[in-house]
Amino acid sequence: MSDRVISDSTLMAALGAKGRVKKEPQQTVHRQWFDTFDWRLHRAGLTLERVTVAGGTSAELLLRRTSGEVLQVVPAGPKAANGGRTGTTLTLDSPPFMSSLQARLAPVTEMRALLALVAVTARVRTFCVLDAKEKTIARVVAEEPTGDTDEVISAPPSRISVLPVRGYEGHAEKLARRVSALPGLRASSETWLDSALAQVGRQPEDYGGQLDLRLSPTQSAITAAQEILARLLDIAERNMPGVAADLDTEFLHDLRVSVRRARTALKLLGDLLPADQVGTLLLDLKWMSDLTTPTRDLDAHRLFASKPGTGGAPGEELRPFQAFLLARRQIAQRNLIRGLRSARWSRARQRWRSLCGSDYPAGAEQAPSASQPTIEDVARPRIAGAYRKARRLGEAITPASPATDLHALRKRCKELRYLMEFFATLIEGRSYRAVLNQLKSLQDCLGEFQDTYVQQRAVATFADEMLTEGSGSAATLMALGRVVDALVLRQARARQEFEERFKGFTNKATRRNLANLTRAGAGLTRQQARGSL
Amino acid sequence: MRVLATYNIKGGVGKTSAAVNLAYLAAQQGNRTLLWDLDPQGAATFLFRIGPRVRGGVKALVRGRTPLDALIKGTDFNNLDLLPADLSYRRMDHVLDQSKHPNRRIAQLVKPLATGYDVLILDCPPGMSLVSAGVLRAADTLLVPLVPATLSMRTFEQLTDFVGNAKQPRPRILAFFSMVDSRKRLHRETVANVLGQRNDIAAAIIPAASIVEQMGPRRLPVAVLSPTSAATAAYQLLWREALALGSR
Repeated sequence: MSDRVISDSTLMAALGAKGRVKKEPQQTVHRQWFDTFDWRLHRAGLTLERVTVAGGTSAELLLRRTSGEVLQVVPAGPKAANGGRTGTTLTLDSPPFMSSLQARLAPVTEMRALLALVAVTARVRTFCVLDAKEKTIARVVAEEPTGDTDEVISAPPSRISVLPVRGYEGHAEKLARRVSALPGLRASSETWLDSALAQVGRQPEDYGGQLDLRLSPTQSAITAAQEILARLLDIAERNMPGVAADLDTEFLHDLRVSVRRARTALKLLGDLLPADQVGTLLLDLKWMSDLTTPTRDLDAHRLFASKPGTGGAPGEELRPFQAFLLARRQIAQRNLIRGLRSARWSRARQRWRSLCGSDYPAGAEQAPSASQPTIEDVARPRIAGAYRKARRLGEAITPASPATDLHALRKRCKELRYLMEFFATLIEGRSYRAVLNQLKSLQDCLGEFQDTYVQQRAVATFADEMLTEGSGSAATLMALGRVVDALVLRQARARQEFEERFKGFTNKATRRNLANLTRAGAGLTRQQARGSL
Repeated sequence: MRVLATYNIKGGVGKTSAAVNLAYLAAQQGNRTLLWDLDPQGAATFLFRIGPRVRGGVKALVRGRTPLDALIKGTDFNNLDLLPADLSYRRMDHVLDQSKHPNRRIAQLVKPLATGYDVLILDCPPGMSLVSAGVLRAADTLLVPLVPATLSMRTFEQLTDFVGNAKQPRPRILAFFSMVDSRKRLHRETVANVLGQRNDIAAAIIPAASIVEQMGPRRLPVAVLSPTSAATAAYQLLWREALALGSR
């Protein structure tokens, strides 16, 4: 990196013998980086940038490793396509020749949209270093941000990068040593993206949707509860713009999960916080959960109905159903946005924030007093309690039990899961992972049972509405019948599996593992701990 | 990964020109492309200004002691890499013969490349050999340049028999007229008689143009030398036709 411009002659002199360096015409290049909101590309060691050259008519997409090595360059169509400002999304399916990149990235990004992160416009001088056959064996690229247009969001320091060519890496290393010895330059492992992000106060992977709590066992229970709530509020608020803009379905998912986790935190740890505020906030969060449900459910229905082979129904016949779902979703989304912008939600977040404690963000550990328990005193018995509750509910379930009983168990299992995740740093280890695996397995089964149950009822209701509206043909309704048949089968399979999964959740090994988790530090013997489960 | 091979029993019919130009066009479209120069003469390697040398020679390569991945060189073009030729490739038949499954060996060697490449183009040496038998097994499409002459057509018949008698999986054949000189009556007549009669002959006709000859001294693909030339358009059409066949 450099704060001044290194001249062509200085650079070429550093690169080696005259005639072995070819300078390409100088260009003004606009780079815009894209990733998903939760940095899936970066976490997979990749970066994606759209490059447009001033005066050019088309753009290119560059896929690189985070180390800077270019993996693929794809023509990205006309320059104006796919927007440009930060926050706008990039679609990879427009030009047909982009299929290779799309196929490569789809398993990484899954359902998430690619969003513009940051952009830099820079003057770029490229020097090709040649061997005796005049083959390029390395490229040296000097980039100086221009900072002269509205589009420049970030203007990091100038930089000179030495880019290796595959099979000639040794030359690049030598050149990098020579270049970095030039006066006025300082070596940096920061990528261009890192620098650009730093200029706008960001860094790669600054959001992950994970709780990522680092609670300490000696921390007071109150500050730990506040820290949990604060982290959840942060996740909820960071996802709200994406939900409102409807960028992809995962914003809503993360918002919903943070709200649901916060409800669990208030329900199971709320006694540590002011009771009046907890009660009101619980009502508000229930309201927000309910508000987000229709959009999320409709997303799930749309996904299910779009999968080939759904209930053996051909896609064409389900097209009117898809259109019907889309129209319903638009209404649900409008209601959701109204809710997110409402005074009630604003007040609720204010209440949520105040519950997090005025001294937040602290991460600040408040020492527990004699009358105040530590989080470790609280965490273990509450996990044990949540497990006991789930176990009791599950044991009461018989083949004749209604779907609502399984749903009630599912909710208790979620609470247990969230509690375990809140306190992961206090209890993680082999026993923790073993219990979590059994719990996840049971949750998957209960989730499949409940989802297929809800979908059956929803499809039946929608079919009625389509009939009333006159928007569904006989073929569509018959196809929906087959969809319901497939759902009934899946639900029955999940119901069959329930017993086995529940056994795994309550067997001796799981109870022993849970006892290990809940006894440590609680002054209980192994037998006392197991007896309490 | 699509695996295409330019192959003909006869030499000097435009195999390497086709391999280089198609590889370049594939890469320009955003496909991660690798060209493997299997011909010990190393013409494709020369055209990309890369040294015709493979560490450990053909033995290390065929026996898997040196993974193909470690021998690949980047060309001067985006998305386009080259696995260079080596003089020791002249003994490839012999080395293949000593391996466990000589006919399957090339397919086994290229299989791991599928994670890094969308398109692999094999530029084969002429003749019928274990190398060509191995290429038939590895490739999903055989691109066969034909110079429009009676003997060439006869050789093409021999080649289709050779492929037809090879063990499954066999590649599809897409032949194309190459080095066509429209001033020559024989060329015009041969093309006119054959084109449209057989579905394994492409509509693309590669002209005997000086711009194609310029690839040698200038060491650049035709599409770089002259993006709007008839030869570039012909290779572009050939690439589209080869793509349209889809993978096996």
